[in-house]
Amino acid sequence: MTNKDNTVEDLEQFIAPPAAENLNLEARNLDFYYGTHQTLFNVSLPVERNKITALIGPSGCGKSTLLRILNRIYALYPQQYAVGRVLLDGKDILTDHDTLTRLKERGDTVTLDPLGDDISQIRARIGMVFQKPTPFPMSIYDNVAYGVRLHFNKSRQELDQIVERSLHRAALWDEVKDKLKESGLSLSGGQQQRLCVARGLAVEPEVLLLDEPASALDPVSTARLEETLMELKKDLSIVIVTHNLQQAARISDYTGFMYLGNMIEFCSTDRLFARPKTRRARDYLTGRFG
Amino acid sequence: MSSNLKRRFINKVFVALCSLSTLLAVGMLALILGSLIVNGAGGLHLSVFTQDQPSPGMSGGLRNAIIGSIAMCVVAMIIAVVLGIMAGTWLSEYSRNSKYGQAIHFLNDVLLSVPSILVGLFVYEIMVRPFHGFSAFAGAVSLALLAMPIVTRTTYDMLQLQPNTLREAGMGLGASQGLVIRSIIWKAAAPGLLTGGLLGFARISGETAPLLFTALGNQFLTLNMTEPMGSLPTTIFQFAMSAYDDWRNLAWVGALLIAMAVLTINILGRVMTRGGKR
Amino acid sequence: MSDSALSQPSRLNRLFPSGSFGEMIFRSLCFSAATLTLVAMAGIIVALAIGGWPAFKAFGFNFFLSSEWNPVSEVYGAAGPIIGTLITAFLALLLALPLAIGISVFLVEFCPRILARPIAVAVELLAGIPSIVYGMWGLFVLAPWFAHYIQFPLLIHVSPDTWLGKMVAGVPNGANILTASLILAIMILPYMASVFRELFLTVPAQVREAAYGLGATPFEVVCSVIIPYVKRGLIGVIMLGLGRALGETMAVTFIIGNTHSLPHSLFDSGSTIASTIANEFTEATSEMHSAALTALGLVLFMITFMVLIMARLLIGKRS
Ligand SMILES: Nc1ncnc2c1ncn2[C@@H]1O[C@H](COP(=O)(O)OP(=O)(O)O)[C@@H](O)[C@H]1O
Ligand SMILES: [Mg+2]
Repeated sequence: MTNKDNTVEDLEQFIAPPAAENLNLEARNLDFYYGTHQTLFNVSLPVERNKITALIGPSGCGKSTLLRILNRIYALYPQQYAVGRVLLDGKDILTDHDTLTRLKERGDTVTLDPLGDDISQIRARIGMVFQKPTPFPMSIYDNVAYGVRLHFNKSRQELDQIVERSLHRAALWDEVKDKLKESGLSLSGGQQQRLCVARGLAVEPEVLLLDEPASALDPVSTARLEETLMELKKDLSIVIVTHNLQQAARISDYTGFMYLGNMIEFCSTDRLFARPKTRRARDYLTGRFG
Repeated sequence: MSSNLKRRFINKVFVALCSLSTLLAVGMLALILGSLIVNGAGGLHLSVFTQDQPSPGMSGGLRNAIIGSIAMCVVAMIIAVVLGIMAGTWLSEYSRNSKYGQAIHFLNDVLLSVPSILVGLFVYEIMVRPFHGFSAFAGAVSLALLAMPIVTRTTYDMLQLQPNTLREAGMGLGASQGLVIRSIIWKAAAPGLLTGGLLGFARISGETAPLLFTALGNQFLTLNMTEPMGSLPTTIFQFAMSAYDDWRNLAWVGALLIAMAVLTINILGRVMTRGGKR
Repeated sequence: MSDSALSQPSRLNRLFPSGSFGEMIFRSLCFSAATLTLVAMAGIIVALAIGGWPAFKAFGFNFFLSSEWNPVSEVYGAAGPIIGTLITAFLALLLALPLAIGISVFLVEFCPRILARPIAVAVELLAGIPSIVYGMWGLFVLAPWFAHYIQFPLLIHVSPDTWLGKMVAGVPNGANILTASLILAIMILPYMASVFRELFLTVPAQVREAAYGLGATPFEVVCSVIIPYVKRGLIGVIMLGLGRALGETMAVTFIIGNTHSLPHSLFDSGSTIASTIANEFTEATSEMHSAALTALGLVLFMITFMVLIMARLLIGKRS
């Protein structure tokens, strides 16, 4: 596998990319490094507004890594860095000094259109849900209210409403409405995961990133989560990493297939599952490897 | 958004305070080590190791104290390692989470941090008062009592780290449980057990309080464990509290020696664990 | 020295021949060694209680209430050392706690990677330096400095009638409650900082990331997620630090001034239980004097025992 397989021209030949004005979030030509170890090679990903975009591919191909770039969580670790552009509504969010220097070193001459240097605001607009549930050590109510309290000055009533609505949207309200004061850690795994979804939704993000959110869940909880996501896409754009091909086929509008740090194919889900262009994608979808 | 500016400002202040406290603490501790070296290194002659402690105004060294310290620590460590490893082994391998085992485990953790001066008082009551005399052996016992909980705890932790498959494999070959413990588990955990011993050793080599009224101190060189015996910490205490300049200088030298010794042992312990984990 | 027993199990095997009888002996020996822990603990309590009994009997409750400690007239009231112990320990904790949290947060969250490990190791090593070294530094460096640059100027410039003046009244020799607390704080600081750091490192990376992912600042992540996540352990470690400060002998004895009356100000000399025992025990000539000192020991044991038990219960429940 060489980088030649997925140059931008190649990609454009066989996908009908979402129209530019519909893009909510876009990654362009991303390289990523863990220290000196490069794990992403010139990866691009368009995320269309009010659609679900799925990322599939064998373990270790870089799906989580890509997701972690999109809201700059990787920046918590000084030895990890990304080179390339990520645009939120057309504005650049990878605008820290190091990235700029490295962009220049790579030879990119584009002028960026920065969104602003406040990473906290950016992350408020791009929510993230992780593979393992990550409830905070506080009550269910406080978990959901956490992000809202950070970013907005809401009255008690407004907060109550937001919490209730978020829990509704995450399909958790009925199960927890009588125990909002109990610890978030007291819920079951599936409930914890939906609590994390509710927590992410409460700040009203435009994009929600989910990294294998269902991998620790039983089939019933998984089905509920999928319903939730289908419901949610009316309001926001969703990127979901999943190991479950049926899940990707069921819920997503677009699917990207990654392999060894490259974006091999990206197109509408129906098209990818029906007629994959590359042999690797075909092999993966038919279960010949990975 | 002004609330946002405020958040970022608070965060900046917080980062600054955290950095500042690190700077302050590291600076302070550097200051302590610095003055230890400045005041102690000058007096670090060979005579410190070859001559016994002087009377005020005379010249001398710390030989009796150094040798006394080593003697008592060695005896203490022999006691503590033997008992501690056995106790830790029982807790890890035999107690099977019984109520009694949990109680012992808990008590051992408490004993780990009982003030050392109380251990000294205890040993005074059981060994010095009944036999009407201070002795190096009483000092060694009080040090052993301080080191044993550390050895017990480390032994327990290290044995718990050994996979059960190891035990099952040994017993599967027909070896008895005790044999498996002695010939397989202990061997696999050896670097960790050694670290436990070193940690205990580091802890007691600077202990002063329990020696004050067990080994008492002795200005002459002796290796007789039934007599009072000098030790570095007690000699430092005596010299530092005195009004004589040359005694005070010797106290600095002694403090430097102890600090170096403890640092060396601790570093050795860290190197061992790292070697053991690999 | 001691590890030959470990590396040569075969020799030990000869000592405990296999077969059920040898097994039983080995097992009983291990059991006895473990039981020794219980015996030692009980022994400490009983020995201190018996040794201190004459003092409790002679002075009753006055032993705790009176602050008159007079070996000449054989009157022993321990209020001075008891109060001194509590004040110095809590003051030390008050001084050390924010710094320890600051250091550990800095090391975990903000410090450049290349520096974080060396500093952490240095802090850990400093936690092992014997207290007598800190005590000597206090006596020879801190006390004179404190007397010269703090006590004298304050004595000259602050009227003794004011509130501040009352707080800082005392003989300007640098040997007082405050400097003793300072030394104690310096001594427990590396210990607390390094254990805090280990605690903070146990917070799962994903939980941290989730908080950052919602747009929280590092300050907000530390306060609302990391610290609550390890709260029990944190309080346990604080208790252990308090236990150390309460029972510390050598760091304090050098610098507290060793007077038995109740301290009247922060700059007044005083004593702690441990420093009193260390200073007087070998010189106690009368039975009552050593009984009173042993009784003091029992009081110290009870205080620290309570603190330690709470600490261990909190830490034990962490998982
Ligand atoms: N923290 C890390 N440090 C170094 N390499 C990492 C780290 N995390 C992931 N990697 C490497 O990056 C590659 C992509 O990993 P990841 O994005 O987690 O894959 P996926 O989510 O698709 O399974 C893998 O080869 C993995 O070994
Ligand atoms: Mg992954």
